[in-house]
Amino acid sequence: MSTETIPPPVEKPKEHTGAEEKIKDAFEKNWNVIVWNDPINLMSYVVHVFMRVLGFNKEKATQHMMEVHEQGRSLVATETRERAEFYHQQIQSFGLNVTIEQSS
Amino acid sequence: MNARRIEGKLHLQFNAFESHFLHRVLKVIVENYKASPSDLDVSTAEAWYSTRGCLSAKMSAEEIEEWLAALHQVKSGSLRHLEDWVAALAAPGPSPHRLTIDLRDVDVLLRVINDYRLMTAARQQLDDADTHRDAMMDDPDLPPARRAALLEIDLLAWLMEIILAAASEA
Repeated sequence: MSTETIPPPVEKPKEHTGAEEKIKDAFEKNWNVIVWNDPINLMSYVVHVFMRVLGFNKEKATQHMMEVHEQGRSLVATETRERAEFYHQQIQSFGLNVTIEQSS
Repeated sequence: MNARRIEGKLHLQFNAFESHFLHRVLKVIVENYKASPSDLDVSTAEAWYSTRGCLSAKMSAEEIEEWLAALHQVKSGSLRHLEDWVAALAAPGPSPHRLTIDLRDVDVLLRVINDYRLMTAARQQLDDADTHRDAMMDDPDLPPARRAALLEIDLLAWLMEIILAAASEA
């Protein structure tokens, strides 16, 4: 009878399949929607767009508009990828500079 | 110009100059909305169809193409309204000229006016410093084309402010 000990099973490194990534993206709110300053869009118009697209009340919309104006950018939402893409397209259709990026 | 909100509609009233100017703006936008993004001049395409956000989202080339097509559809989807408004503003008659739009279409009008401002600024490469210049004052450093662009941008900003204020009236 062999006295050799059986080595513990080697755990295979977990593979992230495309499907897993998609499921993760679908449910995880880890996509930031960022609006950037520009010299043309009016402050009142930016407030209007935030209220329309993001459903902010006037006070919150004005706060974010001022952040864009004074700091050059404002993080206006953190959402699932699908929702962030929707905001991206809606906000850009109004002519604002907007990007989305995955938060770390 | 003045604007009043009455029962779900926005009633705009213009003098002859304002009416003529807005008519021209809308006609230019109609032409450009009919063009696909790849057929626009580079500066307008960059102003309206920037793919900066697509790149930060790490979209594939195919996804970007779909995204651009969808954005173009938003713009071209407003052509019917625009053509109606162009016709209304072109109708002969004494001042004041009137345009009545549904409140739900106010965003279309704002978007269009803003797109003209963005296009004009992009074509003249106007930056933050330029937009703080007073185009009404004599400025030897301001070439006529840039001065005209700033005047148009300022005049349209004034129209937008009036529309926004009237649309948000309770």
